[in-house]
Amino acid sequence: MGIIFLGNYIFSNLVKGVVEREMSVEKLTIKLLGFSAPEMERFSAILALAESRLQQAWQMTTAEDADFFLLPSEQLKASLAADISAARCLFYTDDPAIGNLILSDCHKIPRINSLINVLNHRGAQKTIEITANAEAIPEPASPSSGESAPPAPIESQPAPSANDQPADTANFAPDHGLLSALLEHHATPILIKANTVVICVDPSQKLYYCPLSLTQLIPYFDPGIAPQVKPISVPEMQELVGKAKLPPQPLNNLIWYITFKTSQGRLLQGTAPEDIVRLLHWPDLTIPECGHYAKLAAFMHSNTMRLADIAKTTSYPPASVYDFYNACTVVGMTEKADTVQVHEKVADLKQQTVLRKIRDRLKF
Amino acid sequence: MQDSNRIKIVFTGCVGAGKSTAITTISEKSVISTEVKPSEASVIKRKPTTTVAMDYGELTLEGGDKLHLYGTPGQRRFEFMTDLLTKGALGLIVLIDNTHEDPLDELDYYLNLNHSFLLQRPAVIGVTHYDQTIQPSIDDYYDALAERGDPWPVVRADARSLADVKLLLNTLLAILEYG
Repeated sequence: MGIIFLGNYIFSNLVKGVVEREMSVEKLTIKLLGFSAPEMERFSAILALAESRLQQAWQMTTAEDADFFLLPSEQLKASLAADISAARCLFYTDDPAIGNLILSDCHKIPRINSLINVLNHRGAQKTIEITANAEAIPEPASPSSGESAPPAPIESQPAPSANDQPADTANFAPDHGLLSALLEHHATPILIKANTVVICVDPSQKLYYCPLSLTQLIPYFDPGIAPQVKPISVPEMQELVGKAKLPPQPLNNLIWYITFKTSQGRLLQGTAPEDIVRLLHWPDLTIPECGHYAKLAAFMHSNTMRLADIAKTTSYPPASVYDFYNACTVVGMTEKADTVQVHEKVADLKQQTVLRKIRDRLKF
Repeated sequence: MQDSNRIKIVFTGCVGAGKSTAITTISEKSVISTEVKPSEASVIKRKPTTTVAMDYGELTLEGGDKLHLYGTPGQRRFEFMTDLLTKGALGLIVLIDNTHEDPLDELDYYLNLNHSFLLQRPAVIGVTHYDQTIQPSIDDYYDALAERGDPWPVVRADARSLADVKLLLNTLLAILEYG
């Protein structure tokens, strides 16, 4: 699935439907239809992270009588024809023309704030509908007092402030969330707690320890999460990672991947598309998704060129070039230059054909 | 094998680095291997059998062309095979066992051995058994390459993993195309 978002465009057209069943105000259930297990796992992780800021309790369910259903947009027609009320359907879509992004490109970083906004909005509507239905039905008079008890107020947490998260600006600044904590200079090992996950970092050895893989860590990359940082001694760190039997991982890979996933096509602050850059070192191509950038890495390693021209020459989308450049720059693998230096390659059509054939065979 | 018009890629590197395994992993047909009990003392310690002439595997490409995959012998007394095997090759995958006594010295040795070839063609360095020891680190490999003035990428790889062997090959293709 490409881009994941849930637009108010679809949403506003769906809420006109009739609520066909009673729903619990305290707990709303949501069932995902048509998603792969990893996608469901990721959504579950996002939902868990958003939990404290949701006005209602939301729970994923596999039951048929869920309050809401989340579907890929390709299933829009089919689902509307199916026996599910449109009012209970929320959609993922990969159509970027639809505004009101709530969850951005799933290849990047899911936006918890967006999820919170939509679920709170939808949950609040349900609350109003149910309350209105309840008020329309006369309460039986209490035999003891003769007066009906006032309905208990539904407590709602304040909606998350727009200031809770950095604004989406044209440039990417690595100064929030987990990335910021990792980039701060630390003389001793540190423990970073981001929501429920704990990462042990050994800055001197450029290593980190964590039970989760890079892809499992994605939900914790959200810049809106303010991690807690606690310095620890080297013996404490050794005891901790020894007990948990955590293997050391290259810290630069974590920093590279967070930057890559959170840049979202925005160029690093202080850099312009006209800047002439080159790649000093190859990134670790075994980092998830990084292997797809081998050609870009090879090109940027051999040529010193304007960022804007790199995108044109290599046919990588500018957003991808920027994400890659940002990630490499944050770990110190790039440098800027004053002059363009292009390594002219003699076109060898026969070799080009051979390379294409091999690449096709490898399905890479 | 001496036909320089053949489309071929050569895997080289130290004993136990995974050359035979990598070719077996990617080859679409049974690998032709010339493994025997080693005679060099340093090799006996590391492996019960080792390649003495070459390993060979292949992939069929569009139009019936073949990509020929050769693995060089690990024992240094067979190093004369290297020139024969690399003649006309697209590039070199240098596999280094990170648990070797001196992996960086091994890297140096194989880059020197293929110096003439690498003046014309690229290489990718695959570091195997990295899960067993992270010393030397990937940065140490880059430092060693920088000292030599070599620009080759270093990729952690498990020779048993198809994805990793594909990544090594794809990286080599990327350099051939864009490097």
